[in-house]
Amino acid sequence: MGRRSKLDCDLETERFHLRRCGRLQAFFWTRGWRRDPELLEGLFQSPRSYTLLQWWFRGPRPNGRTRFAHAIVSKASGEVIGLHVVVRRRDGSVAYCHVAIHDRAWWGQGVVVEVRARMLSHFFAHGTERFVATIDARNAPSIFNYRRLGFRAIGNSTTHNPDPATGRGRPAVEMELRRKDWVAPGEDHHEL
Amino acid sequence: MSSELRAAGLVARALDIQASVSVNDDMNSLAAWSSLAHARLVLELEAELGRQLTGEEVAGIISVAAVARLLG
Repeated sequence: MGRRSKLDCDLETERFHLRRCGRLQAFFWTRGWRRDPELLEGLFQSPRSYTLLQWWFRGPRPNGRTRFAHAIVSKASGEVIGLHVVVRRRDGSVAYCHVAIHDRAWWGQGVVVEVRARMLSHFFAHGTERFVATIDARNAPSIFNYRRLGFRAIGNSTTHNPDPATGRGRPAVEMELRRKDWVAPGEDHHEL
Repeated sequence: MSSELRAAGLVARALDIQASVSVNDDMNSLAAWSSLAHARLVLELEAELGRQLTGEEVAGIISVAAVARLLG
């Protein structure tokens, strides 16, 4: 699949290669996640499992125009340890992120902050005005990651996907980061 | 004991820091303040307060001083 926009390119951080991937690649890399409640929570704020067919239509499904997926590849091992997804409104005004790190040895090692910082720099540099996030109030690690990157809380709300146990959205916090407020933590990374 | 001292102790325990934690410390100054440590800190704080924190409160925990404010 050819490149579809300036946003759809490989990137790099200190510890990781961020390999752009198309829909088929993303499907194959992530199909094992569709029955992993912890990873599904990270991606969709719901532990509900998916069939393969459902995963094709509801999984990461990058298109290179409004949905962008990057495999997170450890420079040390060469292994794919997770996937970062950015979904962006076509006019660039608003975007949001999903991430899942399937290699649990990397949990708590600052992967999300390092990778997302690179993504934010990349998307802000190419016209995105604002990133938003709706985070389950019980997902303290995710809230921490957004705060470390300078997102500010703008209110309480509920998750978009209902809790299977109650059928209602769970308590959540709304956060945002505007381009004018973005301060990249170091500028030693570069676009490939 | 003042809320600042209780907060410093709670942060040190949650982050598993043996050295002393200052009331001026925050998530940037303490290398041990990772995402998982943040989750432990929230649980410790909720146990101390006897209630669940809201999302905005969890997002506001960025420093020892912020923890002290919640402990009141």
